[in-house]
Amino acid sequence: MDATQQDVAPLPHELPEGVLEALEPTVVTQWRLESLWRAGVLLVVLLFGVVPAAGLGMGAGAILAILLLLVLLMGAVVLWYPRARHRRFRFAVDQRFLYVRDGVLVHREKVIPVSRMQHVDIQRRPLERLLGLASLSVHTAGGAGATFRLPGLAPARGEELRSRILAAKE
Amino acid sequence: MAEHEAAPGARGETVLAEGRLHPATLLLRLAALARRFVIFAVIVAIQMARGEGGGFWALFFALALLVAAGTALVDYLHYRYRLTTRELQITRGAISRRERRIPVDRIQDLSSVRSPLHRLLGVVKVTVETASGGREAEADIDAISPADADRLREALQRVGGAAPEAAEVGPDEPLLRLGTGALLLRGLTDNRAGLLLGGAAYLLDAALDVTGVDPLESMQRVLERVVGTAASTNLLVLILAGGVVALAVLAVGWILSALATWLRFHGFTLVERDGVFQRRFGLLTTQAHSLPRRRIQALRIEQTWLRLLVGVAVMRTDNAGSAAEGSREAASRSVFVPAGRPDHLAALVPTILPGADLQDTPWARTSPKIVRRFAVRGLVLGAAVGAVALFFVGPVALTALLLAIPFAAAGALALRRLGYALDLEHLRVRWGIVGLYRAVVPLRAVQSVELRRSPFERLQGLGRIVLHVAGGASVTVPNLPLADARTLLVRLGRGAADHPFVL
Repeated sequence: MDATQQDVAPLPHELPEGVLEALEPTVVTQWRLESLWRAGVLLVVLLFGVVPAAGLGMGAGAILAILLLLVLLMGAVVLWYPRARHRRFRFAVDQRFLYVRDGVLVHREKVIPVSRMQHVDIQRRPLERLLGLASLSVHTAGGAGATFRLPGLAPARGEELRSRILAAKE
Repeated sequence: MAEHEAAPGARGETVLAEGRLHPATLLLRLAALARRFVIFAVIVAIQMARGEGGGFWALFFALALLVAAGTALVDYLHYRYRLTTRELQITRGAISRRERRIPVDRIQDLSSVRSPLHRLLGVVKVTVETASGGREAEADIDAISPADADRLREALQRVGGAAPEAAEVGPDEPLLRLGTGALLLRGLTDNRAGLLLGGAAYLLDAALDVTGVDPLESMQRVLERVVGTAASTNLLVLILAGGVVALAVLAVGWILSALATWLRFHGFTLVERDGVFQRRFGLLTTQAHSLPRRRIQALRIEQTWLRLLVGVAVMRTDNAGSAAEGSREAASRSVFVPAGRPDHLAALVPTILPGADLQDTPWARTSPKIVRRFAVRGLVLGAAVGAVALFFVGPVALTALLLAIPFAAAGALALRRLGYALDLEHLRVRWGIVGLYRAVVPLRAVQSVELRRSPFERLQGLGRIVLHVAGGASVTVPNLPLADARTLLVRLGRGAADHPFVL
């Protein structure tokens, strides 16, 4: 790779909006359903914890109020957070790197050199298949945190990205 | 050493080495059982002395011992190991055969461990280490004859798996040899008091029941005699007595811990041969480990505040196994050199990672805003504590807000320590508040780089860089002004792309 090309390689936040891609809007639905499921499980667990608390002398009214508050909070998170995440999520792939910019509370800019990608898979979990989405799994060497998932892709786009990365590796 | 001829294996694979356990294994298993059951036996004896169902426990204990001994015999009779060109197979079990298969290219090291009993019986325990084993070995063969162990190691070397381990230290000049002083310093600055306190508590309790003598009471009487006055203020003397006992226990535990470290690492020697580092240590139990340079993903020199004071440091490495496709490597942070003078260890760095040097580093500084961040944390903590204390001591509780001051001081100390340096080959990072921690990461080890900004960091225009290396470990450079963080992100990304990753 010649020097000029290297120097031109931009910083993730400098990549023009055209180059940076967003995820499919359907992914918001996927995330909402996933977080709804998780919130539901949490609610059930809390219910089992709260009922004995009634025995501790807390008034039924207070317990109900707390439960209502929790439900409202979880509802807000389920509705708001996925959309906020989608708005923040941007990525780009070039000859040398995969750039990802995401995170709602903690902003994150991630750079993965193509040369470190040991393999790249397309994954379609049941919910993703239902919604017509796919995700790209990028594996680097090392441990639990080494696999990066790029969700919310149109299947065709996912395959295209995968081919591009594999071609760039040669 | 007789040549072991390759023979066709069950599936037509070439078998390079195979064997069974040495008969001495039975004695070793018996000894291990005895060790484990000693603690049990002591507890049973104490329970019997207390008069709490001793007979039942003794019977249960005897039965358990019998079952364990029988299991050990059966295991010995059916244990087989076999090395083919592709994997190491360990098969055991009589009724249900369990087969452990470790691909050759995942084997990072075949270490040998010899306890005094091993040496007495003339056997060696071979531990198979892969990256995903973490601190424990993936498998071990306990025990085989040294000749079989050498044969196994040579066969593995031929297949290109593990690094060779020298039978003798050889004519090479050791890179490092540790004396008793350094090891004792390391042991004395360890922190294992908690475990011993637990044991001590049980013993004190049992002593009371068994002997009918309250150790605290007897201490109190001794103190009375020493102090010379009648213990009119019982509470005070009791507290003093309790304090003395606790201190005594801690002191004994401290010394025992130091002794244990000295025993474990006695005679530590570090040698390099053909890009492989070999470490030998141990007095009662001797161990030999090898680590190829290319598997080192990060090198750390660490000193807690106590070690800084005393002038001893510990060198650790983050390692990774082979780059087999699709393998899940786990982080394995291991102690590379257990103790040493910080300047000696720093001088070793260029030998371990050529091109890296911790001695004259032009450390780049981070943002002074960290002092404010720490102060805010102190303020928040003070407010929380004060709010609670308000109910107990009234408005005086507001002085808790003054916590911001020591926190700010900690922030200033942290700022003084924080530094980073990125050159063409390595990233060096320095941090700590009262301790000193340094890390060197070769750019070939970098797997991905992240720039993270929490809401507070965003508010202050700061960010942190998190670097992931193979094996799952990571190195963080915190408290960076945003522009510096972004520059570092790009330079690290490019640096990683410019250096191929090879294991």
